[in-house]
This record gives sequence, structure tokens and C-alpha cells, in this order.
Amino acid sequence: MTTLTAEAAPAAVDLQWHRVCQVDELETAWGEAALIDNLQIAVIRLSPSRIYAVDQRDPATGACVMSRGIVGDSGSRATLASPLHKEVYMLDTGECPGNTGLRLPTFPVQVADGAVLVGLPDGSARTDHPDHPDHPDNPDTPGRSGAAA
Amino acid sequence: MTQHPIRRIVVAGGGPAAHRFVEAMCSRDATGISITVLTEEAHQPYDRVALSSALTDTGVDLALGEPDLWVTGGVNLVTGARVVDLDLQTQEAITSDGGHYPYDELVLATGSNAATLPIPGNEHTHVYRTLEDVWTINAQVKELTASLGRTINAVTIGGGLLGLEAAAGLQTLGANPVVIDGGNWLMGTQLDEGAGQAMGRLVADKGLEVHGGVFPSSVITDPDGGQVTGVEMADGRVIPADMVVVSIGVRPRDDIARALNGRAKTAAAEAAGKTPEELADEDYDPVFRMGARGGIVIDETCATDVDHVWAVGEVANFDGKSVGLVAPANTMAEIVADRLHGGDAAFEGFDTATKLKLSGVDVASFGDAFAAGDGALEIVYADPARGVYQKVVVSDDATTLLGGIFVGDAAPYTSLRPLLGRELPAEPGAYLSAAGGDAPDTELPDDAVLCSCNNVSAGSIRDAVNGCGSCEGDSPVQELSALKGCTKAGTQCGSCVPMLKKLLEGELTKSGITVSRALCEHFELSRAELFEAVRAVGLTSSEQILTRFGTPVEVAQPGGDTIQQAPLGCDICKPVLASILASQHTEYLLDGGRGTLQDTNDRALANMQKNGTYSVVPRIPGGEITPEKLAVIARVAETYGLYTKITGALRIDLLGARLEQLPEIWKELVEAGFESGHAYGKALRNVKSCVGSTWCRYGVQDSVAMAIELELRYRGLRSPHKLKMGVSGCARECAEARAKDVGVIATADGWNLYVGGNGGANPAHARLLAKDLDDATLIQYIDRYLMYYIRTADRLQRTAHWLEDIHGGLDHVSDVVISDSLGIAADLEQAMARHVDNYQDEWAATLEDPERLRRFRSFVNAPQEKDESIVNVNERGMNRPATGAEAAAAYEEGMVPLGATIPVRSGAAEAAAAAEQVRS
Ligand SMILES: Cc1cc2nc3c(=O)[nH]c(=O)nc-3n(C[C@H](O)[C@H](O)[C@H](O)COP(=O)(O)OP(=O)(O)OC[C@H]3O[C@@H](n4cnc5c(N)ncnc54)[C@H](O)[C@@H]3O)c2cc1C
Ligand code: SF4
Repeated sequence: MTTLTAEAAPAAVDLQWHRVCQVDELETAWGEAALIDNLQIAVIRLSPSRIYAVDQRDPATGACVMSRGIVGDSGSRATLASPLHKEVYMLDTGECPGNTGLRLPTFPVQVADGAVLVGLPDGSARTDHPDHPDHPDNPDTPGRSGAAA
Repeated sequence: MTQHPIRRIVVAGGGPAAHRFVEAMCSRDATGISITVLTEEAHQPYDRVALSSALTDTGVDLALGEPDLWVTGGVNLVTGARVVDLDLQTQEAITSDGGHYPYDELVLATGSNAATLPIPGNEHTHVYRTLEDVWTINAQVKELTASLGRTINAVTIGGGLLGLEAAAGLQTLGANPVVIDGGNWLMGTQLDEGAGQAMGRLVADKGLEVHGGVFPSSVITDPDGGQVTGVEMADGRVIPADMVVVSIGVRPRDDIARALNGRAKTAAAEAAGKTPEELADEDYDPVFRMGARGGIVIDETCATDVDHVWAVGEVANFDGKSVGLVAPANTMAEIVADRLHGGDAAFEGFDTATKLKLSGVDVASFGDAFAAGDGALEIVYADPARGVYQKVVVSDDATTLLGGIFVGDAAPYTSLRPLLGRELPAEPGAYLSAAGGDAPDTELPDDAVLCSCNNVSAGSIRDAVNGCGSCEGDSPVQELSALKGCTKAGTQCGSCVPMLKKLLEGELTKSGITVSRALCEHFELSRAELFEAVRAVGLTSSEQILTRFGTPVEVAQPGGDTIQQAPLGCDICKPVLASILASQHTEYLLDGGRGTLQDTNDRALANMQKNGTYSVVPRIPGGEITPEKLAVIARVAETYGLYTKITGALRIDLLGARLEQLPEIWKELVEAGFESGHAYGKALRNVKSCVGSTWCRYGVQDSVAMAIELELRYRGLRSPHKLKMGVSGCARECAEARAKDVGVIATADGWNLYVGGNGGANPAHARLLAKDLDDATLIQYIDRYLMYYIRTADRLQRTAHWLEDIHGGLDHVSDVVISDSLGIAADLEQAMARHVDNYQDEWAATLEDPERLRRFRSFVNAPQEKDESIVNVNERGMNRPATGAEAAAAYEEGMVPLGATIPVRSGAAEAAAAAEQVRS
């Protein structure tokens, strides 16, 4: 069974799928960090068929910690709270209802043969993802503390 | 005199009455007005009513009014300025340093002095009136306790409202409180004999030693004449005393008026060819008429006999008396402000309602308490053995409420007091709650005064709740503290607060607003309700709790249907579930799905720092540590390049550990005998102690041993918020135990137990719960206290706030803990025993189990890799996290292969160039 959990990436971008781990290496609602070519991703499993991947970096502070936040829900949508200052992000879109200036980049996930695959834009490195807040084309590049100072 | 373009108002005196006057002037139109307040004290006006809190806590801030009240354009506060005379011709107030302050209107608000005792040895006694008085008393209790090396005898002469407050304060300071009162029962001004007897019972239960019915004849000192040793009584008895506080009443400070009268008398005598002594008082016209027992006579407008001179507060004499209460002082101040603005407010007489501010002694008296009026009827219930007395005084047709006295159970007072002078909604007997009376809950009429201190009517409170726009923002005020701020109701003596709360809740219910204590969108219940529900049903997992008590979410199914499903929870309720489960079951925190409930720090059994690294805090019980163990900490810090810092809790913080390093670090620490210090948990943190009697010259008990015992008993105990304790070896309190949730202070006879202290942003001093306990009782009480808190507190509510919030406050909690009023003491103790029995060190348990260690891997797909986004900088010989600019510079130079998202900003490179880069 194959499931896409993040909103589809922009059509113009070619996705490259990276295997992260087996589904059963992930504990339900316990986020894990994953390393894909120096890129840190947070992978979150809600059920064997509902897995999310988001940026590991906390949009508010720049620290790589998001996998260690609390997973929850708001209505029927899954959420992830930053472990540092508790901003809550929607896992499907990455938006932060409490602070519209913040956005957590999300990545599509597939499950194939029991393995978790995360789709990253081809050749993606750090800021090259157009969705990435640091990308110069991203209209809503958020203000951020610390790192951007 | 020519009219000055600006209307100059001078106030002599700077107490509560002066403050209220200035506030009332400024809240009206104050353009074209200048107000000069001359006060002899060194302080800005402060809340004398709350003076006793400064006896036990000398740091407390009693300043009245918003600070900017005293510095706004038109107001000029002059401290250290004592008015000694008036020039009525030029209209000037004259101060002792020769200052002349011209006025168009003068308000005398000089208050009262504490009366002194006309007996030998009087010069060795203290009075109880100003901040300096209570600070001196506080210091002397401490000095004497230390120099005499025992509990001191502190005698208070005078068993009225203030004397009892003073005695209770002295008791809190650790002295043996003794009260000498000439009357046959205490609080003779407010209480009749029956009430006085019940009162005596309560006061004795509280531990106050009372000698009544005999007057003191002298204060005895040692032969050097310095140190008080006792009080000799008229019947020859000597009552041992190490210090004496006199609180026998007040005298209006009307000396300015007396000086002017004196001059007028001299002039009249001269004119009559006599000496002033020869002239009888009725043979001349005084400038100011004075009351028989002092005080400057005013009329119902608060004007004195002299044009443009007004008097307010305790110095004013109305209808033949001056009254030492703040409510009439405030009312008079409001009246003068109104009159100066052309209003016609008038003083209608003294409201003498009083409620004693003594924890554990519930006493109130109001109106015609002695049924002195014609045909007044008394309906009384008395149970002297229990210390209960209730009396309602009504008109001869038993309908109109004239007054009342309540001792031991003053609950009806708050609802009755505003009905004074009105028809009672029920039979008078229904208000004798101790006799089983059950008065109906009736609505207060709008014009009934709810807060008499500040003269706030029920109607104006209703208006504020419903958004009358009298406060900023025009929005309805629906929260108790905001309501107090806006209406000022309940901000002085506080006795009307229960009534205020009830009125607020009633209004909110009327407008369909339910006061929600719901935890979050996933739970309708408050934390305390959820705790009880989980306990009652016996739930053991978060899934069970979410299914049973969570608000279901609707989930769309592929076929288009929706199904109801238990919610997942959120960052608010999940840690609460974790805490409730941990308090009830004491199981390994991260197993069985509980790991996913944990807040940031609990999840890693360490405190997350700003850069995603962690701090490690091993437990050092009582702050006692061997050199060998210190060396282990040093070695671990060196090996892992950790920053070390001594914490405020007598422990050592090792900062900068990466997630995957935590198990290795703890392996070394656990092998050396360390345990988790739970610095990461909403749990007991530490028990701070001083060195105690083992080393200290002053110590009277072994505070270190007790601190270690307590810390080992309660370690790992999860609670609504973090918990801190302290143990001091004597009254000097070097461990600052009273700044803790639980403070234990040694006495010669055992331990005093204080509760509800708090450091941090909202400091609070812990309050006395019980005295001179032996070790076993101390621990028993702490067991009960902590468990009761854990069961009933709200999420993230520290004990200080909980004690304020819980219905009945400290008195209620002390009933539960000491008298087992709810019959749950055994249950609370068992719950604590279960915790103690099941405790295991969380880090040792983690290290035992490879499954548990898995949670500390850096990356699920690369557990051997470390997080390269963490960049450190060396500063003062240790590592610290790089700033954003420093990290970015390191990245530019290619020194750090970064994770996905460390941002890059050129220009920052220069800023960081100087910093020495250290790769973690
Ligand atoms: C321990 C304690 C507890 C109390 N509890 C209660 C209570 O529960 N309920 C209640 O209603 N009341 C209580 N009171 C009484 C209440 O504090 C007084 O009624 C209130 O302070 C009266 O205010 P005032 O401004 O008239 O006088 P004061 O508070 O006496 O203020 C007068 C001020 O003027 C200054 N002053 C005097 N003469 C001069 C001068 N010539 N020139 C310049 N400055 C001068 C004084 O130094 C003083 O600062 C309590 C009092 C005490 C001491
Ligand atoms: S160190 Fe302890 S025993 Fe010594 S004076 Fe301070 S509180 Fe008392």
C-alpha cells in the first residue's frame, strides 16, 4: 500500500525518493530524526499507513529538534508541537495556526514493501527546496530568531 | 487672597486615606489642580491593613496605588515632611524643616498613633503601627532567638484585632505567643461575652497563650536594664517575656489642630487677663472643635470648622468618635474628592464591620453587634466547646438585619454583611449555619455595598462584569483578578472576595457563560477532575483515558462516512496524562506508549537547551556530595566537553550533551552511584539544606539528614508542576526554606512545616502549616500535603497558587492535612507509600534495557552519526552553543557540514570570525 501524506510537491519539481527505514522501526506518535544526504528530516508515524515527514529544523529557533516534539491532533488533522517554544504545526501542510509567519516544510512520504520513503526535490540540499523558508523565491520566508539575526 | 490660577491642594499625612483621596481626585477631572502630599514617613503610602504580612515577610511590597499615581503631572509626593503647623491667614501648611506649602484646600489625613502604655518599663516595648515598627520587631525576634538559643516569649499586650494579629505574626516568626488582655474576653470592642468565650477557645487551639482579666503593671528588665524579662501583672504575677509588643488602641494624630487651639486659648486668656491654665475650655472658641477622646470634628461633608480645611480617616471625628478602620477612611476621602469637584456626597456614619485576619480563627462582627438599639432581637447559636458562636441581630419585628457576630464559622458573614439595614430574605435563624440553618441564595440588590473597604456596590460590580465600559477597553470583565483591578472590590481587607467570586459566577451563569476549566480542546475536564476520574475508574493508559474521557474527533472514511474516534491529544493534555499516570502508577516513564505523552524534557530524561542539546543533572540529595563523586562529575564533563555550572538547587548542571550521548554519560554516572535528579520533570527537584546542627554553631537540628531523608522519599514524585523543598537547621533560615513549596525549619522542639512558598517570577513566602513536629509527624503531614496537591491542583499550578485558588485556602488544606477533615488522610498516605515503594531510578532503568536505549538514537537510519548542526564556541574555558551568526560563519568556511536547515547569511561570517570554532 502506498500513501502520500504530505500535499503533493509542486509539479515542476522532480522528486527523488529516499528510503529512510522500515515502518515497524517507528513507534506510533514518537518522532524520529533521519539523515538523508546531510539533510535532517523528522519522520512521524501515526499508524502504519499514516506517516509524515517534515523538516527537522524548528522554524522558530533554527535548532534541529522537531522530531522530539509532541504529536497530537486538532480536529481531525495531525499536529506537531515544537519542543522548544511549543508552536503547533499542521503535519499535512506545515502551517502554524498560532503564528502565520512560521511554516514547517513538509515532504511527501510513500510506503513500499514495508519501507518508508521520503520524497525530496531532486538534488535537494538545504535551501534549494522552493518550499523551503530560506529559499529566495519563497514568498512567505518567515522571520526567525537566533539564526537569522 | 487672590485666586491662584492652579487650584493647589495640600494633603497632610500619607496613609491609606491620603492615597484614596489622591486616587479619587485623579480618577476625576484633575486639570488645573495640583496635589501635594506631605508625609512624615520615608515611604510612599502603603497598605497598613496588610501590615502584619510585613512582620513575617519583611520584603513584601505594600505600596498603595499604581506607581505612576505619585509621579503624574499634578501630584507631588513629599516624603519625610512632617506638618507641624498651619498659617490660616496665608493658607500655608508648615513642615518641621521650615517648608511652607500654600494651599487653596487642605486635607488633614494624619491618621493615628499607636497608644503607649503608661506603666514603668514602657520604654522597652514595641508598638505596632508602621513598617519600621514591624521590621524592628521582626529583627528582634531573630536576634533574641539566636542570642538566647531558645524559643522566645513574645508578649503582646492588648487582645483586640491588631494585638491578635501581632501575636499570630510573632508565632509565625517562631516565638511563643502570649497575649495579655485587661478585659474578660478578647476583642471586647467587637464581641459579646458568648462570642468572646468561643473566640478564646479558638485562639488557644491556635497555640496562643492568653492571660485575660488582669491589667499589666510594669515591664521588668534585667539589672542592666536592657533586656526585658517579664511583665508584672496587677495581681502580682510575673509573666515571662523576652519582648513586649503593645497594641492597646490608637490615638488620633490631631496635634496640628491642638497647636492652633493652644494659641487661640493663649490669646483668649491674654485678652481676659488670665493665664491659659486659668481659662476653662468652654471660655474660648477653639479653632477646631475636637472630640472628647481626640480627633478633629468634621461634618457630613468632611469639612472641619476652618474654611478650606477638611479631615479624613482616623484623625477625623464624626458623631463623637474616630474609628480605626480603613473603610470609613476611604469613604471620607471619596467624599472630599467629590465635594472638591462640586459634588454633594455625604458621610452617613461609620461602617464598623470587621473580620479578623487570622488564619484558623474565623471571626467577624458587624453593625449593632451588641444589640444595643431599641427593641433589637438577638438570635444566637453557641457551642463554646467547639469554639463556635453565631448571632444575628434584627429589628423587633425580626425582619430587618441590624448586625451580627460570627466566631468559628463566619461563612454567613460575607453574604449577610451587604444586607445590613435591609429586610432579610429569610428567617434570621436560617443564617445560623452552625445550627444547621440553610439560608437561601439570594441576589444582592444593586445598591447593597459588597466591598465596604472600598465602598463598591453589587450593582457596579455587575456593571463591570457585563461590560459597562468603566474600565479600559469597554469589554466585560469576567475574571476575578481583573474584576478586582477594575472595581477595586476585595483589594483591601479581602473579606468580601468569596462574595465577589459568587457574584461573578452568578452573573456569568446568567449570561450563559460557563466558567470553563477544560484542559484543552481534547478534554472537557480540568486536571483535578481528570485525576479523580482516572483514579475512580482505574484507568492505566493514555489510550484508555483518551477513549473514555477525550472529546471524540470525526474522521472521514473513504466511503464518505464519518466515524467518531478518540483524539490523539496535544502538547497540553498529553503531559497532563503522563503526569496523572505517573502519580498514580509509578511506572517507567517511556514504556507502553507513555513516551509519546511526555513533554520535551521528560522524553529524553534530560533538559533540552536552545540548540537541541541537553543538560544532565545528577541528584545530589540535600546538596551533600563526596569528593569522589565530585571527581566523577568532573571526569564526565571533561570527557564529553560539557559546560558545568552550579545550579541554584545545590546541584551541578552538565550542559551540552547530544541526545545520543545521554546513555553513555549516564552509564558512567549510574556506575558511580548517581541517580537522575529529575531536573527535567514536573516532579520533586531537590531538597535544599543548610549545614545544620552537625557543623553550624547555631543549628538546633540536623537539617542535612532530614533533607536527605525527604529527598530520597519524594524523589521521582510527579506532580502538576515542579516541586522544591528546603530544610533549615534553625530560625536563621539559611536554606531559604520558606521560598519553597515545602519548607521545614528546625526549632528546639522539632520542625516547623511551611507550605506554599515560591521563588521565581512570582515569589511567595511559605506559610506555617504546623509547629514543633517530630520527624514522623512531619513526614506524615508532607505525604498528605503533597498528595492532596497532586490530586487537586490544576495543570502547571505551583503550590503557592494552588493554596490561593483552592476553596477555603490554607485553612482548608490544613484541616485536610492535620485534622483529616475529608477523611482521606489514610488514602493519601497509602498513595505516597506506593510511590515510595515503586520508585526506581529512571536512568538506571533505561540503561538496563536495549529497547529503551533505542529512544536515544540520533537518526533512525544512521544511529552512528551525530547531529552536525550543533556548533559550539569556546568561552572562558568551556563550550557554549554558537550564536546563529557564529554557526553560519562556520558553515561558510566549510568547517561544518550542516544539516538540512542551518540558515546561511553572509555578513554574519565577519561577526563570527573572532570566535574560536570548536566542533562538538
Ligand atoms: C496591623 C494593622 C492591621 C489593621 N487591619 C485592619 C483591618 O483588617 N481592617 C481595617 O479596616 N483596618 C485595619 N487597620 C486600620 C487601618 O490601617 C487604618 O484605619 C488606616 O490605616 C487609616 O488610614 P489613615 O490614612 O487615616 O491613617 P494612617 O494609616 O495612620 O496614615 C497616616 C499617615 O500620615 C502620617 N502623618 C501623621 N501625622 C503627620 C504629619 N503631621 N505630617 C505628615 N505626615 C503625617 C503618618 O506617618 C502616616 O503615614 C489595621 C491597622 C494596623 C496597624
Ligand atoms: S546554617 Fe542552618 S543551622 Fe546554621 S544558622 Fe543557618 S539555618 Fe541555622
